[in-house]
Amino acid sequence: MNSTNKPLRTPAETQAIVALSLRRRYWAERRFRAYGFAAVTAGMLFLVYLFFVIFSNGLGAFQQTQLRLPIYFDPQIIDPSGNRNTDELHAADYAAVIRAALKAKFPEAEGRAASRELMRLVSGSAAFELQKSVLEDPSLIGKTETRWLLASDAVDLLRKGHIDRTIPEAERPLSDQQLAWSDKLQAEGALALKFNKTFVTGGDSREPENAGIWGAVVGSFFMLALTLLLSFPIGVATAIYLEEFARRSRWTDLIEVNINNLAAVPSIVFGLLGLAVFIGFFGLPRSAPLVGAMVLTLLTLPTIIIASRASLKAVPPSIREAALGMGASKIQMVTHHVLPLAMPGMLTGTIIGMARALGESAPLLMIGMVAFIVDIPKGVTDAATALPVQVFLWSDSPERGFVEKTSGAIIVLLAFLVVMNTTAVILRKRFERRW
Amino acid sequence: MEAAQVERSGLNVKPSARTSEPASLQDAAEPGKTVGIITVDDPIFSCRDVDVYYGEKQAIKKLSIDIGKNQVLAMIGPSGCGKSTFLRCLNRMNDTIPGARVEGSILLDGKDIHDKKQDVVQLRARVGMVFQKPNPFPKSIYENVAYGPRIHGLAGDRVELDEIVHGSLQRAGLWEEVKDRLQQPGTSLSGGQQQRLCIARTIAVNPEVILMDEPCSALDPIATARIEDLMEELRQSYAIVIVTHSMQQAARVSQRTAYFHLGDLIEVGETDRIFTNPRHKLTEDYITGRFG
Amino acid sequence: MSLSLEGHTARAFDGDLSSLHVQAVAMGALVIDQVQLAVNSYSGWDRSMATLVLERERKINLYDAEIEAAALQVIARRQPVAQDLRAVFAIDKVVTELERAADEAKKLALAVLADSESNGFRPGAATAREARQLGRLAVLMIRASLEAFDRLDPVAAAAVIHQDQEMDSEYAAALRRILTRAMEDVRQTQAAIEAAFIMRSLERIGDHARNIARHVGFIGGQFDPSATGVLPASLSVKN
Repeated sequence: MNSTNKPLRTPAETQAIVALSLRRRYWAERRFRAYGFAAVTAGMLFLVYLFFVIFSNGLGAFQQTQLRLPIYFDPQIIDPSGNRNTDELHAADYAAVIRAALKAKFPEAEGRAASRELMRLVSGSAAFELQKSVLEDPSLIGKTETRWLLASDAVDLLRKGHIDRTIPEAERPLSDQQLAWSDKLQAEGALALKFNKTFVTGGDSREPENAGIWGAVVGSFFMLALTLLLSFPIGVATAIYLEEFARRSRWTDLIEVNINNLAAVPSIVFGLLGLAVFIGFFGLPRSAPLVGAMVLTLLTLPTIIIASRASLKAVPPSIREAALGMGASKIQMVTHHVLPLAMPGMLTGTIIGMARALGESAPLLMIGMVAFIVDIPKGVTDAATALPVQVFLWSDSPERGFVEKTSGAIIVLLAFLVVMNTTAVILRKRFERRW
Repeated sequence: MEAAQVERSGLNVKPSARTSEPASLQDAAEPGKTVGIITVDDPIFSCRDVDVYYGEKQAIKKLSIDIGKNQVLAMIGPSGCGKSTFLRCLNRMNDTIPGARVEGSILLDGKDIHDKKQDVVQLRARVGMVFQKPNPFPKSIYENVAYGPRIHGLAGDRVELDEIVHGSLQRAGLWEEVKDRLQQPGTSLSGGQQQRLCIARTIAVNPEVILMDEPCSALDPIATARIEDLMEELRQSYAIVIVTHSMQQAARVSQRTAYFHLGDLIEVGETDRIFTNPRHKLTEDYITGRFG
Repeated sequence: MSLSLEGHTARAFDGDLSSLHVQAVAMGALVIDQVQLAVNSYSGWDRSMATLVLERERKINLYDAEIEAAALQVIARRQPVAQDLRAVFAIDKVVTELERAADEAKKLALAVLADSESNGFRPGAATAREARQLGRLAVLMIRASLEAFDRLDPVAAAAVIHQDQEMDSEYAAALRRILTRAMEDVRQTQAAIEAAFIMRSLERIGDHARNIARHVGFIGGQFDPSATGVLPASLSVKN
């Protein structure tokens, strides 16, 4: 090949060849752009659909049906002795008061069976509501007041239109008689959907109408706060040590490989670890946010360490050299110069880790947070549950009323996530501005 | 002319001049043997038989040189010849490079800088460094200059610190340009100003020696001229060692020049003489542009 | 130090220096011819030769101006150092010396052409012979110094400097003989003075040749440029 004798192409020839390839290249670019656009649009559509489904299912959870009844606070049932004794008032049979009020409303309910069916129109907790009112204000005794009582979950389902009247009576949650009564109440306007305060302030319950998310929220909050407090400093300090101070050796390489692997380990394995070590060996209380936080810390540490190391590596060496050249000690160089510059990246890693921790339920199940907890936890060692676990529990429940509660819980979970992320992003922006 | 007379005069004996014969002037590098006078009276740095290794590779071979006070020593030579490596030895910045090994003695004011009792942080406060690419801290101009005095505890209170910052910026020739915007970030300045800021922060800790690693290579001619002018003023107070790729710059700013070649110090001497009549062929070839 | 103006990585630099050198050598060749011609015209009292000398003078002056300008350009564009710097400096000085040597030659020619009203002092046979003798030496020295300059040979240059001693003694001898002849015949006094001036010019040409040789030595870095004497016995380079 005598390539050395080949004359160089003239510019005109080269341009002609380039022009030919132009069309093909532009088309490739257009195609790629189209794919990207299509993918983004599809993703957005799915997202919109998802939100639509969740919200349409879940918004109902924030409303609960209540029954309007005139209640006669019969002193004979409530305060037979007449001396307003608190213990007596406490122990009175308020259910009977309700039964009397209902019977007054629907006199046609004769007999125990009908009476039971009538009582099933209201929630079991309605009696406690009356008890609370009387204890707060004993002057109610003897009066008649129109009260809104919490309806039962079946009536609530009916009011929200979830009951199919066409199916046979035995398969329905409400009998024909109960349906008739409910329709009558509805016609009077005595059956109304009101804002469900219990849902956002109360703890879990066997009854869907009484079920609340607050316990899970508090539990999640404690857990995440603790996780952040534990994992952020440990993760950042580890990353700094590994990146700046540790000498390159086989041990550090081994550690690095292991950290990378840990980031991909299924989360349930951490739960097993927590069960065996924290609960089994150290004897920490089951179901406590403390243990949950420790397990979640183990889960998020690899993410934080990896992200922190990457952001430390990204700090230009010229800054380090400048600091060292000034006579800063190594730790001064790291804390005064490298760390502030690496902080945005570290915070990003933390946000990612926290978001994952918020949504993890498998490891928490392993350490026992699957228990049924009704009380709102007051400290990190009280038994608690977490939002995703609550979602799991409710979704598993046979009660029809929990369906919308599940979606409602998901909404709360998403809101929690948004708040958390927004806070973190604001924090990160503040650090970025300084640089 | 008789050969004998020629011999006595020391001239090159061969009558045909245009051949490349080894002349009376040295033309081969010998490690440890430097042409010219390596010592100065009352030196601030005194280096003897310094070897530097990066792993297995030897970057500097048996280097001996003195650095004098209140003068500028320029180090010139082709890329990879060891001048930057040697510069970094003087403030032990090579310690930060894993696998770097320094042997031989480097005495600062008579004391070995590698001695166990010598604190490297303190050394770096006495021997400051200005880098090739201006690298001000991502802080305000004031904070940039105040950082050194602050970490070394040189200022008792805010008033003293202000004075130090003011003085340093003034001596670096930057005060007039930034006095109204001390709180603005150091990175908002132009390249030349940033480099002067780096010089200001270096002199804020009152060093004895200032090391400069190609300080003007990223700057335009005007900024370069300003810094060269600054060097002339600074050498009244500090010893300056500058590594430069520009021979013209070395000729302009230095009093002594050292030529490095592949890890050897080939020649050192008064700048005037080096640039009019160097004594080693390698030096001559390099500065006249006969590199091939 | 092997003297070479070449070898730069930037080859245009080689060209710049070489052309400067070559031009100076060419000017030198002209000056050699000029001196020879002037001597011949004087000793042979040939007007046409003398006129030719005057004409060629213009060309030499032109060379002088061009080479000076070229040297300035090399300095501005190339910022030469070390040997290159010494070479440009020296070439400039050599050209000046050549120009002055040519001026001295012109004086010989002018002496011949001044004979318009029989005021010229045509040299007698003895004077003419002395003029030819000194002239031959002058031409030899100029030629030798230019050869040394052409080859950039410091040894040959040293030889020329040594030769100046011979020129000095010949000049002294010629002066003595002219004086003697003048004392014998008072009417020849003015002619003698004129002859003395002629010899002086020839001696000066020799001096210029010696200076050219010294500048060649300077390029080699052997000589202190401010030295005024001859070859120093111990060669100590400054610093």
